[in-house]
Amino acid sequence: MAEPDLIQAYLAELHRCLGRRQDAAEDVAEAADHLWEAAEHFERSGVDQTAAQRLALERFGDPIAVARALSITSTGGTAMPTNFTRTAGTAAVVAAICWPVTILVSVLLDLFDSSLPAYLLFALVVGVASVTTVVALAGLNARAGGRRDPWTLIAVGLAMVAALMLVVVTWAWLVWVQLLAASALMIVVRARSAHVRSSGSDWLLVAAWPLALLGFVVADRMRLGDVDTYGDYPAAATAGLAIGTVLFAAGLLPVGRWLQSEPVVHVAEPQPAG
Amino acid sequence: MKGQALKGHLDLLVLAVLADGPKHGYAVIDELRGRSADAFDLPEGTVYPVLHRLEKAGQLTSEWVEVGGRRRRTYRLTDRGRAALADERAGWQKFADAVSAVISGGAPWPNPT
Repeated sequence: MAEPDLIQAYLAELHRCLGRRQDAAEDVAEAADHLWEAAEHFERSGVDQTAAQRLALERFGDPIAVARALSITSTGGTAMPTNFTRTAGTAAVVAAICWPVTILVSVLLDLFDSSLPAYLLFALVVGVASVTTVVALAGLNARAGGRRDPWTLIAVGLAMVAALMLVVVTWAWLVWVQLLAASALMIVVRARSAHVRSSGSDWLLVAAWPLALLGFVVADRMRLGDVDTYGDYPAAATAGLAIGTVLFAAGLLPVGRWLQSEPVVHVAEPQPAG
Repeated sequence: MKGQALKGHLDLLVLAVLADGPKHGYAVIDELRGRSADAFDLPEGTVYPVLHRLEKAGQLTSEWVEVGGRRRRTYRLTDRGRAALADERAGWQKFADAVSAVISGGAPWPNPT
């Protein structure tokens, strides 16, 4: 039996490069079987154990290149942690903080202060929430192997339109929240089908805004709060948005922490075979 | 022959090797080397994504077995894989004939028939 050091170290590096993809363990097991068989083959031809392992590893290829080739998706993207996905993780954490703060600031504005600086503060929080959300969703999409494919363009495009509407026409929230939900749905489905992530909390990203809408309808039917000059119940909208922002933040936070926690694999160019 | 030169042809080569019966990854690559007399010089690890892709396309199936205390994944050609192999073989033959005709300079190309 050969010394396990070289092959074991290679397999550990391969596993690290593959990240926490669900089928990473199977890929590593397959590589292990190959490498041990190759090393045994070289040993039978008269090479010593260490040299046999080295030859087997040389033939198998650089672990980063192999991991990258194993992570290339049908769209040509690479489902691996990168600097961008790590940055997106930070953006997701920031967005998770900003979303509930937008509601808090909005309520405080209504209750105590409607001055221009207070509105500028609200606009700033909303702006940060929208930008970081787009980056977070784009990062999760990239981590799942999305590149410049139609699915990515539609999903990230919907998030960008929603973010723009959030900043420019915040009042039209019934529209932009559903665009955000559609974007999140596309990206969560991609992450699950690429086997990069299957956390149940991801569904909060999808369900948050439809539930916000439901909360609004219920609160509106219950005639929550006072009627405004348009005959609407602003408190019902606030209640709906509060449900949405809290649930969306609860979905964003674990995604952000997961993206942040993954070690980045530095590689210049993908080298897929075939 | 470097891996880059094989780009686009590996599917055909892998399907052809598996046409003789089920094999695990190492055996597939060993057979590729053997049949090509070591002409194909590509990182062996990059053949596995091809096997996985063909499996996702329904052209191969795989199963895990235990051999000598190690877990081993064995691949088998499906009916869809056999059909794809037949198509790719025919396409390759046509392409190879055309290239041969051009570079040999002896035969007209494109063939008027």
